[in-house]
Amino acid sequence: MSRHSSRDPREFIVGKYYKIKGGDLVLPDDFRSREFAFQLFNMKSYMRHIVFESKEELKRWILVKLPHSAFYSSAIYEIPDAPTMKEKGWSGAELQLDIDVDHLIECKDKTYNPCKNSSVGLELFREECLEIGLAKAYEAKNILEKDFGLKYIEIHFSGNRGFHVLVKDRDLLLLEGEERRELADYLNGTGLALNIIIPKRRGLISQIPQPEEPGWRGRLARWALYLHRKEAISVSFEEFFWSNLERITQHASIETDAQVTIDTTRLVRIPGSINGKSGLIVSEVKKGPDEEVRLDEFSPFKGTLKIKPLCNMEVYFGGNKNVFSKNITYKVEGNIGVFLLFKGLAGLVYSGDLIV
Amino acid sequence: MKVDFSRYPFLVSLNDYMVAVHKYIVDLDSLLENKSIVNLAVKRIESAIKGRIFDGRGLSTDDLVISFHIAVLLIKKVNSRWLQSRFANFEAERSYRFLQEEDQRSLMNVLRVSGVNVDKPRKELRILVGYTKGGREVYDAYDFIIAFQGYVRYTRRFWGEGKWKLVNRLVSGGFVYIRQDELARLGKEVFYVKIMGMFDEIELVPIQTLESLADKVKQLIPEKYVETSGLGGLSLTGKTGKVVVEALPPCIKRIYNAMLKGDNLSHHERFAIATFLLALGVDTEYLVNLFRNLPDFNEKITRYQIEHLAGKRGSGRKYSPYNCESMRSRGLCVAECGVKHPLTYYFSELRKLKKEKDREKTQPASSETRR
Repeated sequence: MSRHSSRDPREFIVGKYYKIKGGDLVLPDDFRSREFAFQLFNMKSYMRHIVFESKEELKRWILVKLPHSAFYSSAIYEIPDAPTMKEKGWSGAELQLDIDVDHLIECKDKTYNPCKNSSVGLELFREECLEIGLAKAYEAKNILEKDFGLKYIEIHFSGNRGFHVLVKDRDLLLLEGEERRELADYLNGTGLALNIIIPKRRGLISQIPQPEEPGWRGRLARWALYLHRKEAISVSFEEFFWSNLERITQHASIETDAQVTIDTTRLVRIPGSINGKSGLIVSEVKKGPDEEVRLDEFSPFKGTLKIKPLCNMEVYFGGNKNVFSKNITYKVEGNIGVFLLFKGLAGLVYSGDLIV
Repeated sequence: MKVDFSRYPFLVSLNDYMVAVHKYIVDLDSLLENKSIVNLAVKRIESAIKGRIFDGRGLSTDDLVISFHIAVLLIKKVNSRWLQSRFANFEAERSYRFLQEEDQRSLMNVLRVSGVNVDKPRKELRILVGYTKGGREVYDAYDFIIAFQGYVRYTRRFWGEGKWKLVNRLVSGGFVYIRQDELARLGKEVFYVKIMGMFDEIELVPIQTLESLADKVKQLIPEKYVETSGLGGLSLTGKTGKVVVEALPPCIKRIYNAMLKGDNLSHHERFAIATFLLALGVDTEYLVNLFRNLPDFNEKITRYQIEHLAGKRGSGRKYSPYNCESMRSRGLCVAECGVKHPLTYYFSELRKLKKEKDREKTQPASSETRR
């Protein structure tokens, strides 16, 4: 595939970022056993099967290629730069959960098309979705710790639509894809059979589960308690439990994308790298589950950018609703400017005052 | 605590056993000269072929352990995937019968020696499930816990049955609670996997006696299972009855290939492939023949079940094949095909293949060799 002879303006911005922050890329200790992969601007295919001996070498590569996206493999290989899976010698993979916030049921009514009355179609989500998604990510982490006894769990913002939960415990590395699916199903409640976990037997008056019980019984009981209290309903807890069981189950489900979890040769976005779909930075989340999260926190860009919007639009970013008119040149703050540019919602006019 | 190897002969290697019991390293040549033990090994294989559990009553531990290992060697030499799976299945079944009779300590011990991380919970878990009309409390009790990695590894063929799916289990601190009868059932699967693993691991030494004995065993395999192309004799490409195998969706093709190899299939895998092929219009005979490759094949039962699925028995309702969602939830979906139903994939592939064929016909001069 041939590349455009003139460089994409986004590449200058990516270069600006990595020149200052290229050293901030976070790599696992065993990065020499991982395959690196890159997507370049205006190229559909990935550059794959690349290895690096040092972080410096990686930084130099990135400053030359100015990639749209940068990844390393969740898998560990004997020969990570071998061209085929067979030759690579798969020797395990970290477990990954993918939570796309715009797919969450609680976020369904919070997605929007920023372009009003226009053929430019694009779906964005309101920033509240980040908190909803982060809460789900923390729940997943909590279940993995409590129910599965796992210890080394990180939550990463993917740089675009959601969160990745990465489980690095070594005794998970060798799980096969279908075995990983059982974990994803456990988190998501896929295949949950209420008649099995809360058995109804002849001549038996069923008892509702208790919050301290293991597995889904405890999870359902805890969510029922929480919802009953929150909704301050006058019906008894027991009655509430039986009549809202389906809704309680829905709340207790995590909603991760199981296809990501079962893939034992997945690519992980490098923390500290820029996500070319948004101009935001992939990063480990340190905030707690109840704290406010906004998109601008993940942008490293300051200063200003001159842009020209491609449609009349409203964009939720940085805690505000930002309104723009088509074809008028705006001087905006670096963070939202880069976001609009990378989302394909605006054209670049001048980037000389952009700072990292 | 010692394991009774006469019941679980796969838990010790032949060499370790000989060294431990007789203080000498095994001499395979002379063992194979021993007619009575070799006959026992062949009888053991014959039992499996005939679908019977080997009855070793009255035999010494030596006889039972050594004959098992000789049988494994012979089967390895014969190199029939069907026979391997068949033998592993019936030997696992034999050991399972003993396992069900073990007390809690021995059960746990056997499984630990098998490599399963199983334990008793610090406190027995009792779940209050309800009350009788008279107000008496009713509890479910769980005697054992098993590390979740081993649990998902050995239960995969049971997931179709909801109660075995991890999501419906009580899980805490990395362990899955499990009842004694369930643990024994899981043990049977562990044994099966272990015996199958032996066929992959052992290396054969060239011994003349072994060759001739293996030939003898080969004669015992019913004709229909004798492998001609290494795939149970059935062709993998082109038309098989009405089915164009090349057009099968990845999920069905996987099951199909596993069947040809003689792998043991789960209930849902059997249901998925049977209903799928029935929907394509294959007849009972074709399916029965395909199922012949399975290690636990029983013609009467298979025929009955297929006819049931085809709507020729019982309610007269024909069962429809799983859609992609159902395949996925049963862990049978293996690729993202961009369709909602495996049949859609099949028919669109069929059209593609047809088009390709037509093109080939119109351009016969092409020198390119097609795969």
